[in-house]
Amino acid sequence: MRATAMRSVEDEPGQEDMALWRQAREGDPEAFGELVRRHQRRVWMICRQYVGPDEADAAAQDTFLKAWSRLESFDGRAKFGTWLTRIAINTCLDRIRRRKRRGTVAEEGAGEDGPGLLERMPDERVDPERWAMQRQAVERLGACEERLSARQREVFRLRFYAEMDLEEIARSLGIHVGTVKTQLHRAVHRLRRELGDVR
Amino acid sequence: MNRHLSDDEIAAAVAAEKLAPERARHLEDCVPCRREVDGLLELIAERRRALEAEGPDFEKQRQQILEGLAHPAAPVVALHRRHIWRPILAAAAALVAVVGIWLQMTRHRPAAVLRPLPVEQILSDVDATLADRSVPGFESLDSMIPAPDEMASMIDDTKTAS
Repeated sequence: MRATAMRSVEDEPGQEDMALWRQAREGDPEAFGELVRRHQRRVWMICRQYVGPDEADAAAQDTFLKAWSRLESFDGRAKFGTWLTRIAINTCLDRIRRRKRRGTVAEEGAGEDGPGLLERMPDERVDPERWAMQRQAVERLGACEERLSARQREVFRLRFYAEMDLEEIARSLGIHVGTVKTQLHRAVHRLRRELGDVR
Repeated sequence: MNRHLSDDEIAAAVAAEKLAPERARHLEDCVPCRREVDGLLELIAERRRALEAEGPDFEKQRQQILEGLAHPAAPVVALHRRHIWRPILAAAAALVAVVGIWLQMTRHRPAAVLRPLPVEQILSDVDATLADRSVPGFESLDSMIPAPDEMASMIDDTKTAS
């Protein structure tokens, strides 16, 4: 039955989400499992940007459990993915607040790259020199992101790493789409200037 | 128009903003401008891939989430319990603070209030000071104010004139 519903709307991913959401709301865990499968990478990437790689998995799981318990509150005005993103961001902010209350505030940049990040980049030993330069450039990009303002960094990462469109970012952060555009433009402009000839 | 894209326009192109039609055409045809935009986009994509490579086993994560659906209460209940106690504790702390401040105030107030002001003494001191013609500064004032008999004749003159 779900397969039929999905086939009839397969050209519209938002509609597929809506069909799955309706089934999940009726208590169908399989439909919810499909929603998880469709959004879990993006949710994990969002969580990673806020709480760092060590906590991202737990935060992502929390996000989906909260979403499951609040399926009734989704009114369909925004995309399901946007609604989920909002829950993910709030979950991460809660975790950061709790961390601060416990006095275990992670050091600046805890949400950032662990030492092993670059080691996990796809191996391209065919051209070691190019590979080394690329590693250096990626590392430099990460460092430059840290120097952006908090809002610029947030918007930049949601746009490019969580691959959200501008409208979705605006809705998720509760800001105007014009503000998102401005912040993104400034972030790119600054990164480009700071990266200089590394690119 | 053959002018290369400005820094602003390249940033706009990377951020997927809409360029003016002729600038968009230039970007399509110009290899150096294309390289600028694509170079940054490729670098960003490379970093995204590196970040994604850190991700967990997503199928395992999905299974854990689905298992969690069967027992959703644990984290949620813990969260609610904490949220119920928080305002109660805050109200209790505020009450203790208010009572403490009130006690402090009532303990110090009687000493200040019960000591009466020596009003009569103060007034008689003021009278004595005013009566004392030797106090510097009063002489000039005396010279400006007419003596009582002078004042009476001034009043008579005014009446006669009118």
